[in-house]
Amino acid sequence: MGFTSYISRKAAQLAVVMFIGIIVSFFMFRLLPGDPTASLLDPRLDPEAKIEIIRRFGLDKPLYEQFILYITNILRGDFGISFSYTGMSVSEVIFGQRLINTLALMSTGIALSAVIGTLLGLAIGWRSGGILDRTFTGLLYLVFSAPVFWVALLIQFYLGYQAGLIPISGTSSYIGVDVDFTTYLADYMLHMVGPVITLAFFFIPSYYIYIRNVVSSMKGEDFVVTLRAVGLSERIILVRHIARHVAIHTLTITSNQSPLLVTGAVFTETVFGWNGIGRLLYDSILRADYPVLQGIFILTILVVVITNIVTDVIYYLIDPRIKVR
Amino acid sequence: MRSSGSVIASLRDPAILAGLVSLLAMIMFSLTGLLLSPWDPNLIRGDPLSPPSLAHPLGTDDIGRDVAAMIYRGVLTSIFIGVSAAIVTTILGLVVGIIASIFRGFVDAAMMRIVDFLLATPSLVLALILIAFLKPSIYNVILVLAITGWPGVARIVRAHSLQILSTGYVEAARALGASSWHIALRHLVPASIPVTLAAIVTTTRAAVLLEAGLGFLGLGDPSAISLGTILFYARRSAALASGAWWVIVPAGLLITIIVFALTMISIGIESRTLKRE
Repeated sequence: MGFTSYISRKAAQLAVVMFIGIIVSFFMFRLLPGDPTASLLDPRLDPEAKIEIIRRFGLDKPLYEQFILYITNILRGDFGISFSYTGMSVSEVIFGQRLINTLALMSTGIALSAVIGTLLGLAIGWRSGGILDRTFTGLLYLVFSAPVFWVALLIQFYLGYQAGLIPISGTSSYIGVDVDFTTYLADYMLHMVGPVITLAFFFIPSYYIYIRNVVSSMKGEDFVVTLRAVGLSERIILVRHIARHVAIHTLTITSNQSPLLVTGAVFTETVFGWNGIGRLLYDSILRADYPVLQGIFILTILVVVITNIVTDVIYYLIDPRIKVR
Repeated sequence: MRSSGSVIASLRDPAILAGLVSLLAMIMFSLTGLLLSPWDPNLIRGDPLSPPSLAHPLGTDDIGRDVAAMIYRGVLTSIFIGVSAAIVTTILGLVVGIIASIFRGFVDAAMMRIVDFLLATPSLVLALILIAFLKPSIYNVILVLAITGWPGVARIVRAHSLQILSTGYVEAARALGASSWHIALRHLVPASIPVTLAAIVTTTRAAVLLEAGLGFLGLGDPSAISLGTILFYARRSAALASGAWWVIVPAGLLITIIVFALTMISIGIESRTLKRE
């Protein structure tokens, strides 16, 4: 089976997943709380606006007609109107500053962790079995077990409140103030320090543990023994040969994490008041902003599906022999 | 009884033993603490945010409750919710996995697509959206944890029981006229126990973390003190600004120890199954 047919089969499979997600969200948001209109219709709206929304989403029609309308609206990118951000559509609430903030934070956090975690895994996996390996691996399993919101609290408490090294909360100190771009950027990045350290604590262990195990089991493989016999130095074997194999594993872990690029880190963003999608999700739960919740849910599934396809293409580009299932 | 034999043998694994012992120690510690402590975790019995002292070994929280007493209660709540959620999750996953493997065809395909979907969706996002609709109570938290957790178990059980279905003894049973029910109950369920035990540990781990997270966000049962809700109160109050480390450090550390113990057990089980294969 060629690459094109493999990818199209995979795409069809993922389309099914996407479709299930859309169906699930339709029923979840319409049937769960009893009254079908309750979760989609802001009780605080004035009657005219209410009628307009009922008409637009067909909430007075039978369920199957609502479903068709719902699908057409989604395809048109219309996710409804937010309850809590009055006058804003769900798309306006999600796509914009919040999505940029989340993408900036998560890509920094994940990229940093991927590099550090992989390098640590390579270095220590290559020396696995010793006391250094045991201590360090044990320590990282401990970090791996720490809940991320607690780590965030500790960093905020010790680095923010106690030491005063990082801003305690927020994305920027210059909201509504006009400053030049470099000042703004420097301040923005300073606000990002706490959340990024938190994310590093969260992501590094998963990279490290995985890569350490891969490298440690690769040490005894025939090709390594051969390379050694040929007279290559340990360093060259590690850098030229092992590191190459490891890259694909780093990619796998990163692709598994990548839905978080968009859904954000709910806990980290909430603790540090980072104005992103993760915090929006939490705020929308507290405010019962169901349209925004539905928008985030559908966006999440979409991102999962897209990253899946992109990862497969990258895999194929790295290694065309890759198993075609 | 091969399975009970392997359970006893697995106690000789240092990782499993250490994990189990620390879990039991935590439970004993919390039970004795709860019995011996003069303070009721729900009652205001001191000045707000007073530092650790002889009377209050871990100080008091922002409304003057004894933090140590809250922690004894919290450990028990967290472990109780984690284990119950894991049992519900595992049973659900076991049933779906076995049904899918027996019926194959459409039932299997439909179930596996739902599993694919749930596995692909970040479980925290799903859990948060579900909890937004349900009243926060211990049972709903368990329900949400089960809904997000069962697909992983179902996939493992299905793969495992497909393997068993292709073995000679199941075919022999079928040739003798055994019904699908009989095969499921007498062959697939017992044969799935080792896989299921491993799944219970990993789902407990995930459930403890997720429950703590929901509690931390204030979305847990408001009437039950769990380790997560202690941190929720700490964040909501002026505890951080006033330097009250005792309301944030111990509760989180205990979640970490519980999760670490479960991690050790699951590493132990994993390495044992690898050795056996």
